Amino acid sequence: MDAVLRAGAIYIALMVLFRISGRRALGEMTSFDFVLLLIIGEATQQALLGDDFSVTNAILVIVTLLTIDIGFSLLKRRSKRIGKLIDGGPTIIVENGTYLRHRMHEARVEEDDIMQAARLGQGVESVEQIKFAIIERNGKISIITQ
Amino acid sequence: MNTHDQEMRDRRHPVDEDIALQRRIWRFERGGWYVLVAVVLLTLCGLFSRGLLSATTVISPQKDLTVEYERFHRSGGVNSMVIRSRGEPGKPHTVVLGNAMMEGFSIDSIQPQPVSSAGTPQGLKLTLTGDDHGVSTLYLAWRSDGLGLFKSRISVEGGGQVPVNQFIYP
Repeated sequence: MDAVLRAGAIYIALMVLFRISGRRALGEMTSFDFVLLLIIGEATQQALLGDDFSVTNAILVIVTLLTIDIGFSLLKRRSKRIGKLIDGGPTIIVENGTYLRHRMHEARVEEDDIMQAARLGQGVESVEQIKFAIIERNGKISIITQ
Repeated sequence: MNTHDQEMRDRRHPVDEDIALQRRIWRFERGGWYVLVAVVLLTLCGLFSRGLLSATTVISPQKDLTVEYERFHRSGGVNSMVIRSRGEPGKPHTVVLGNAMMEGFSIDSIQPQPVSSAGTPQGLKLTLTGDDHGVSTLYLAWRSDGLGLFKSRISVEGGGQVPVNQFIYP
């Protein structure tokens, strides 16, 4: 029984915590974020397995995690609103060469982040060349040029 | 319509937005950050074991029993307890650890070893030899096995008793 409860509790806790940390935390991963992710994985492992290192327990935990994950994806397919709550929706932050600063402020996105994405993806020099910049659901900034 | 309201209108092209929901999610992120800070501060204060909020000392009205322990524990973790008891000089005396405690915790180590121990309906009885003044100090390490609140008591047979309330986090 506790394998299911442990896996469920950790899944929900991680989902809420990553939701709080924002989409960009995972979308734009630096080398330090990678190390942070490893540490989070290490801290989670003990809580998931407890002091039972049997093959059965490991399989039960994995099965539970996959079940919850598939359950959520089915739920997201059924209800668009729940999907948006879990993953968020795409948000436009540059429109016709103009920064939407109130949105950028609330989404904690800087001009530099947008221009970096623009240079990397499209070789764009200035914001006037951008028609739309959109924060996608995976946290990446996509650029559509004029 | 000012620029703020203008910006916060839903766009339909090139993506279908729900900016009201998105703003709620941003507010949740912001509020969540304060919750995370609060959790870190409360952890430093000892709400989740080991710290000012957790460590406590109780003394029996007769002043013959003092127990230092942690209020908060985490399942699977080990915490120490110090029991200072006083009996009649030159004679062994018995300390009784209440049943609830034995259900929620298991003893990881006990120093010094008691002269004898017995499981009784009241709990675990440990017979200790004191020094010349009849005073003995018992160092215990408890491993938390249970979950939730455990209200128990520790007593000296024929003497005082103290309540010991402990909470074990999952």
